[in-house]
Amino acid sequence: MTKRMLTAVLTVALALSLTACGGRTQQEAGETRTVYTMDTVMNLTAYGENASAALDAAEETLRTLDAKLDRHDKASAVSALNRDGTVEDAELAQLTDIARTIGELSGGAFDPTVAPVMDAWDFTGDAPRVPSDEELSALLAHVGLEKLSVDGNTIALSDGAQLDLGGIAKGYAGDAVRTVLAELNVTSAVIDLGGDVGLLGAKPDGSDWRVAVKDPADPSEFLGVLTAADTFVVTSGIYERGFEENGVRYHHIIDPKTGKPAESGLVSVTVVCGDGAWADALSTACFVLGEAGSLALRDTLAAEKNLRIELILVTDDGHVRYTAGLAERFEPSEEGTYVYEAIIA
Amino acid sequence: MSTKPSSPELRPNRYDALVVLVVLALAAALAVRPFLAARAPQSGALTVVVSADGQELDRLPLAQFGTHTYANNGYTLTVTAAGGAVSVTQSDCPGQDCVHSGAISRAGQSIVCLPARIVVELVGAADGYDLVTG
Amino acid sequence: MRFSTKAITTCAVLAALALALSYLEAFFPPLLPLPGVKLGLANIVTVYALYALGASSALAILVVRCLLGSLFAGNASSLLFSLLGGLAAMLVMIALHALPRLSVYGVSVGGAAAHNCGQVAAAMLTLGSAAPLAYLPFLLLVSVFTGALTGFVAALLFRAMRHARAK
Repeated sequence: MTKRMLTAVLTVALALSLTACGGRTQQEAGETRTVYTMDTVMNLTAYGENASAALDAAEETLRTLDAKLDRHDKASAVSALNRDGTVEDAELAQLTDIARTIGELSGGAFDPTVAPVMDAWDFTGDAPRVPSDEELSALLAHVGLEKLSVDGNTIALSDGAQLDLGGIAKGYAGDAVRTVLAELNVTSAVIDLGGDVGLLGAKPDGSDWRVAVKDPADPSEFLGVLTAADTFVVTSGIYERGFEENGVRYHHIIDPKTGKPAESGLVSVTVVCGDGAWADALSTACFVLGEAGSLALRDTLAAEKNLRIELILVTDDGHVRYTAGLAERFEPSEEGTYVYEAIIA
Repeated sequence: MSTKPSSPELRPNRYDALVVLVVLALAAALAVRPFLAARAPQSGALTVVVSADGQELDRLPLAQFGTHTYANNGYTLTVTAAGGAVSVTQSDCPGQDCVHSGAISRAGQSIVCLPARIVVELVGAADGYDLVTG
Repeated sequence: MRFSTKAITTCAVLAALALALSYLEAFFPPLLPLPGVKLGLANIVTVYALYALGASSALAILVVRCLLGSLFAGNASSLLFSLLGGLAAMLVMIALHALPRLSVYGVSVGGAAAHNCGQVAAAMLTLGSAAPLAYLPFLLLVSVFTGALTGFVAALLFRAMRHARAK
């Protein structure tokens, strides 16, 4: 009898041990796809039954876009434009037109023709360097929105200008991915394009996403948490790309007027905007413009383009200022030494 | 602690079953906490926490972790997050237990590399946020 | 405490056997991709020594096996693991074997369980983290089986020794 009892106990133990294996993994975890493209790592997380198929389509979209927009890819449309001075491509024309419009609205703070200057600095290459002033003046002769024209589906460059859509491509890709996912019945997704975030809908449980904003002074810490849904949150900061030479740090956000890293009194700008391409380009433009310029641009966009954007501006004297629309949606961090101020405008 | 040699009882009996039950009860008691943590509703994202010698090296949302390499105690590990799970994709440690552990995708799970003294853990949605921008 | 030459020789032979058994079990494919999930074959010797020779001899054999084992493996940190595991097992088995009605099976299961607890404790100390604790429930389940196996082999051994003495 005791032998049977022992056997029974052992059988129960065996059965219990089997429960340790397997188990469901996809509760509310969603499905994440990691895509290495556009010179960065993109993580796409979609929720819902059709997530897998939708992510497949999204990945395909990203690769196609990258092939078209990468100016270092000899087969791309942008490459052809830079080589021949002109190209005809409906999608590229549309995107370039947006870039040009933002350039004009920002008074040239965002300029997609700044490519030759970027190449001289070589931020993304193996040998970043500080170009001389003479070199920069020579290169700046080829930079300027007036050298770029878009007519229907045709784009043309003049005076040796070169097009680089790096400052708007990721945001544009985010828009494309968001559209593809929505078309395939995904209602909740996070599109993380190298730190620039696109949100499709709200979280699966209906609540808004909570987005932590990095602290420029210590990117492993946070300034605060932003609550948002169905929009884009893009940040430009000095702590991103850059290099150090002779004890001076050069960040990668170039002021198209000077050809040098922008010194506008800001260390980071976060833009919240419903359109990805605009959010991406505007984050660069606002960084270059500085606080006053950014707020003015925000007003102009609301008045002339009916586009509402919100901003979080971190100044180099330790202030974090955020626009009125975020007053209810931005929760400053408890730690840290910043002075947080809402801009009532 | 010196005891005299004795001749053991060789047939399993009810007292042995008691010992087994005690061990099982202990196992169940220890399993309850991590079991509950994993079943608790997760508000979206998980956080990857990597530590070496007990010191935290990285704490990032799973969705944004990407790939990182860590070196400690003479061994180098590559940790990669992909498809909602994180795993040690490469290691030069002798046993390769960490690599063979496969991928973890639930809060409370962890991968341990003893030679390198590195622990990769997944914890529930980090305090107050789902993802990071910047 | 005076040990006869016979006692010392027996201990030495058993220590060598334990060492051989622990070396042997490394050739089995790992049951799980977890550190420390072993069959624990060397515990057969420990259990046998505990009953046949007494606690102090069993302890001596255990310590010698652990020291030499990590020396031959060329891995000093494994010493902490085998010692903590082995000593924990030893303590529990000494306590359990004092209970007259418990058979070798119960003692072996208790020993195997304690062994795993000791190893997890060693892992936690080494890593400075509570993460290894998550492995323990499963290891304890496994120890019920490995303990039963050890007990079974030890029982065979004792029966064989009894028959040999009876002749």
